[in-house]
Amino acid sequence: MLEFKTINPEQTIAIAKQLGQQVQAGDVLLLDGDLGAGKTTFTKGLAAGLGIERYVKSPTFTLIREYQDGRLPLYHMDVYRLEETGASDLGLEEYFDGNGVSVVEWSQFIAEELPSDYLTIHFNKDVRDDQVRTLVLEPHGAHYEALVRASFAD
Amino acid sequence: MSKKRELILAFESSCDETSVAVIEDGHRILSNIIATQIKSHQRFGGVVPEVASRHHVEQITFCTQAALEEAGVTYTDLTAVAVTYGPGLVGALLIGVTAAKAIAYAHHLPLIPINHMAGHIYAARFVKPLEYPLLALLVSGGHTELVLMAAAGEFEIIGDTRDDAAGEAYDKIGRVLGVPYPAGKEIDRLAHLGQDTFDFPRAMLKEENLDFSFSGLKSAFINTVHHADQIGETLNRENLAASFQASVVEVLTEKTMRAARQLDVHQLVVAGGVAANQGLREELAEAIKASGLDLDLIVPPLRLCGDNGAMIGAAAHIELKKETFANLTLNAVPGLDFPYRA
Amino acid sequence: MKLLAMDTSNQAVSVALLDDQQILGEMTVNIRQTHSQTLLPMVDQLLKQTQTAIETIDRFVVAEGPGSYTGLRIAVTTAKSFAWTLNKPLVGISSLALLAANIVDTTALIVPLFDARRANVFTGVYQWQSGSLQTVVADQHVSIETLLARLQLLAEPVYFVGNDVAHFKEELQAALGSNAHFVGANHNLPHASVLGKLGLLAEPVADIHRFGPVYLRKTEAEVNWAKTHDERGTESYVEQV
Repeated sequence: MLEFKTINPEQTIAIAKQLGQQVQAGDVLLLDGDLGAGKTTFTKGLAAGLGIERYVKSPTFTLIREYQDGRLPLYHMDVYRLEETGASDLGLEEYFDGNGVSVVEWSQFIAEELPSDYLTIHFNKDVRDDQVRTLVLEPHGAHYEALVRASFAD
Repeated sequence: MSKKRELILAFESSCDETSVAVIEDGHRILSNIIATQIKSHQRFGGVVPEVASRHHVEQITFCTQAALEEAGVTYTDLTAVAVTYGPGLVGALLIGVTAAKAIAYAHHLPLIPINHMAGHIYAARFVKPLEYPLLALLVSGGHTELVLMAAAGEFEIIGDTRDDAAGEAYDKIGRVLGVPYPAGKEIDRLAHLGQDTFDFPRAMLKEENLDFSFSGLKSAFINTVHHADQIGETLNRENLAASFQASVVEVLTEKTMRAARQLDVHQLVVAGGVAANQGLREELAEAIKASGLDLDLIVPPLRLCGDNGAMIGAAAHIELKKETFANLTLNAVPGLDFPYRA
Repeated sequence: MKLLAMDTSNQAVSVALLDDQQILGEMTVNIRQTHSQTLLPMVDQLLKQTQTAIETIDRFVVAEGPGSYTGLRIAVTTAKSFAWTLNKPLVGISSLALLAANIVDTTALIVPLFDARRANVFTGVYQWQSGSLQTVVADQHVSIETLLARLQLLAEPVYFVGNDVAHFKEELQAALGSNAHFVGANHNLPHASVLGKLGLLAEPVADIHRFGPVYLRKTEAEVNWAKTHDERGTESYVEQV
């Protein structure tokens, strides 16, 4: 468990970028936080860390957006619209087992579809200041503990 | 002997509408059958991809038969088959692509793959002939783009959202306001009853580029509502809607006008689901008038703003001339995009 | 009668052309792939190699499910579109029956199965009776645990068929002991020629427009929705506008 406090989107992006430089094929990251908590901002940083230059846009409409122009493919998924409906029909496992990095927003709605190991990043908004966030990195499994250590060695 | 009629059988199944049309010479609609699944997806508060795919399979041949019958044509009259192959939901796209491929193959007709967003722009061809270079503002649940067309069938993105699409922002703040999916129409209605009192941010207006951003507006809206909730205050829904819409419309209008001034264009096509928004239509019309530009605003009729086969047939007319044909391996491309201006 | 049969229910794609009982050609590809890109080129190649015009096909046969939803819809939509547009009969055959029919020369129970994930399977029980393949237990979506409990009660030899059987081999063997029989790779793979033969005898579908895959499962969205809503009396969810 590792905690960061960010006071603006640039800091969130910087943290995500560090992680983006270390992630490996098949890694699954779950972003957990309210609407507007900075999940897409974080994904932009991650994409930058992977060397992706295209705009990272909200994947809500098509549920999944793929970015192929970086060090590894990035699969950005938003399963918000599947609230209370599940996602066993989406074929997500093909992404999770694939050769890219999967980032899932609103993953609580597809809990049953997730692999056993992953890295969760919690986004908590500060009640007093709309710009301030607490990011909590919670690795599940040895691989993700190592990933967090490698990304934030100091 | 008279020239043989050019007839295109066009398929569209990228999201929650199964549609098949027969289009003559790219601008006459002989039929445009649209089977909408909106009642089905309203149960879930948004389009559920697997449910959409299942409905498409049940509808596809039925809609095709209806389209041919209404147009009064048979396969021997047809010149080509066209189909949307992206962007959209992969499972939904695949039904139109698969059916179109089978029908084209069975009758030895050329198959024309069409980008759904090109279709949205070409919906304007049913209003009047298009003149190039042309500027298009594409606004929908998945897109917010300014597209420059230097010539027929040539598309280049010159401005794009950097986060959320405008239509998506409508749906997301709709949830906060308790407006059922799809929220655009109801928020447009509420907005006309209220005033812009909240002064939400106008993102990226000060920047030189032609890009958009609606994520900050979404956050500002949500924060405003949550802060009020915390102190037990209830905000005026009409004013919230009006303030939100004022920000979206102002940014869309400003950037579109900026593009129009930079480019030597005389037509502006507004297309996509959000083109149905009254507030946007009014503001654009006024801005054009105030600018003194020689710019003709073309907004397709409501029925052609949503997803439909007719617009795919209109876009296919251009590709037919260029002989852009697909082979039997044609697949759905859910993330299909126009190229960006270098 | 010339008959074109196709199956894309799972990983493999198989197409076959038959003239009554005679197999004129068959092609099967079993790699991880997009059926949308492979099915029609395979049909085209088969027709070309056998010098057959698609207009001369008298009947289209398709494996109708269960199976992987997206894959299933490719062959179903292709066969449905062919049959409708060429005005020829369409036959749908269970994707499980097609596998069961791989096993001949036995009167033992045949249990084809597909992994439906989360310890569930799509399965049915089949048996050859007087030369025709009969359904003993209808195709269903069921937990592997329930399937095993039922088969244990029967206490009879059972042939398990399908590439996914390997996922459950240990459990099947542990539960049924020597009554559990397994088959070779060729029998675990769907063959469209077998599908075609089943399709020769079956009744064509009455209304091609309404034909769709047999998923055997509602989507989770619909299941959850139905828990809190009464669907009786609701009009159609799809309407022409």
